[in-house]
Amino acid sequence: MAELAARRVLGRWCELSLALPFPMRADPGQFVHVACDGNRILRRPFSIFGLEEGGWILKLLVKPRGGGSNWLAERKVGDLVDLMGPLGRGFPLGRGGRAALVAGGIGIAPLAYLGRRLMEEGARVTIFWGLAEPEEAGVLPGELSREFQLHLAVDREGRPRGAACGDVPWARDTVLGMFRAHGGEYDAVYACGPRQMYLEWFGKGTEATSSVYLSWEERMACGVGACLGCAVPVRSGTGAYARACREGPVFRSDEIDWERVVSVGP
Amino acid sequence: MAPEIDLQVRLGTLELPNPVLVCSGTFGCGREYAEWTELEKLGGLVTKSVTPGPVTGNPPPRLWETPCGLINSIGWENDGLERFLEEELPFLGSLGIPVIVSVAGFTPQDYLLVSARLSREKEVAALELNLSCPNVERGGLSFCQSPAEAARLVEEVKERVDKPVLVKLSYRVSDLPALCRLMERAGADALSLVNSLPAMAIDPETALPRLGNWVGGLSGPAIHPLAVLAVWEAFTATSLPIVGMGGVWDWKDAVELMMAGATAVGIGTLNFRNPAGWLKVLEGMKEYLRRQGYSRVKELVGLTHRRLRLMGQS
Repeated sequence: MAELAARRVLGRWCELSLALPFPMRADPGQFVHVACDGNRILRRPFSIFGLEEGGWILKLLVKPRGGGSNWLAERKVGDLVDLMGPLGRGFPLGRGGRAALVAGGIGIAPLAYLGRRLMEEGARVTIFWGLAEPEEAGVLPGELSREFQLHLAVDREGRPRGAACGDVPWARDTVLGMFRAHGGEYDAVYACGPRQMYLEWFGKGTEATSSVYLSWEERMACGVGACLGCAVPVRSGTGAYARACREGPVFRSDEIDWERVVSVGP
Repeated sequence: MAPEIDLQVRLGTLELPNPVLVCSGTFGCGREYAEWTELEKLGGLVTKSVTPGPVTGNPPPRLWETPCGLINSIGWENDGLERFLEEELPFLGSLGIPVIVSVAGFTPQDYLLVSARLSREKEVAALELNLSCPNVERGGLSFCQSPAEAARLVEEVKERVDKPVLVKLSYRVSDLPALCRLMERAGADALSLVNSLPAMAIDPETALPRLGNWVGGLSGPAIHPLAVLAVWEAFTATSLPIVGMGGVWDWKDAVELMMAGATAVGIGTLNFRNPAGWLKVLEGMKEYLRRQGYSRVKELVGLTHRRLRLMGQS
């Protein structure tokens, strides 16, 4: 059990700081499996947004978009939260050099944590982040722009609030469009976003390479590799699947069998 | 100090240290849960179904959660018999608990091959023939729907193995009592009731099925009352011991199944919510038995049948 120590509203999202009964060590990209709302059957996976105070404080970034995440976002300070983790395989560290982080919406959660870890290693980090609505993440874009070189893409009319976002460069574009337009040579690219973003990027198979890593989202039951519910089609020659919860959620983009990926995300 | 309660039960010749098992397909082969629960306290572990060769399983999405249940369509994904023997069985054997291996296949020969091979392994306490998987095209549920074929298969397996054989059935059959009696005559040692029930969900936004396989098996609390009735009917129809399963969420659900006639209970979907949930069920049962003054868990088996008989209502 973890106890909600602090809760901060970020636009329509929520940043939770959970006090753990043990110090957690986790790689960026790993997740915790949260038992939301006693009336539900399954836990819900949430990417780790950060670990602080030597791992005793776990940070999650929650976008309310259904029963489980709505429940979690509504927790109050002092509430107990039942979570399992860290689970899964995270992003590889230690690649140094120049790193591009490409986030779609709430996909920023594991990437912000990754960005900090990469910077600690001396990497130069550039974040490309797409938001469907410019104000949905509140002051988070502004905060991240002070830590990282951040490029923001917004899908709809309007721009990020100046005061909140500082001088964040932004474009009325998709995050992928912005990432491609900026070009640049990167030693590694790390991505987390919705299924459609990946299909647009890798669907033809030509852009999937061994230096592009992505975090895969799939409906999940056990979270520990037992039920085989979170199947991810991987290239193996035998039509096999990997488990998002165990071999993933982070995969090299060229590990995925894009021809078998369906557009239905969770 | 409160007297110890006798938790032992028997499924034919198979002795279980307590009546709480984990169901096939919900617990992998145990290793996955080793760091999350005390495996050695299980009454028994039923493995993921094993087929002769590797099976890749159904296309995703494989899961859909309903208000009180879960529809899954995994489709028997497993690495096949040889890798099971090499990679999973040694660990299972090291746990010191009864290991029941679930056997599946697309033809009767598949079942015979896997059963005969597993029968030679000392780590295997019993076999469970999965004759009721709702989401594979061949084998699986089709056996339940041709009872004569199912009975022939059970007979042939029993001729080739010297381990207790449990038969896992579906409730989607026209006459469950008749099917249970056929299984008893064919030599089954126990029945596992019930497998998940065929179900479907459609996304209104796309007008397409939610599951890649379209059809899956519904499990969880939604099917619990059906499982109670299935166990009730099977207990009336045969004298075979029954493993009752279907949406057990707490000790009361488990006690309910035993009172309907189950000798042991299987915990399935709950494992996903709480890997130690089965242990809470067991502890809750013990507390209940103590509170009610029972000394043996066996006293619960079929209790409601006996009580109604005493009341002159059966």
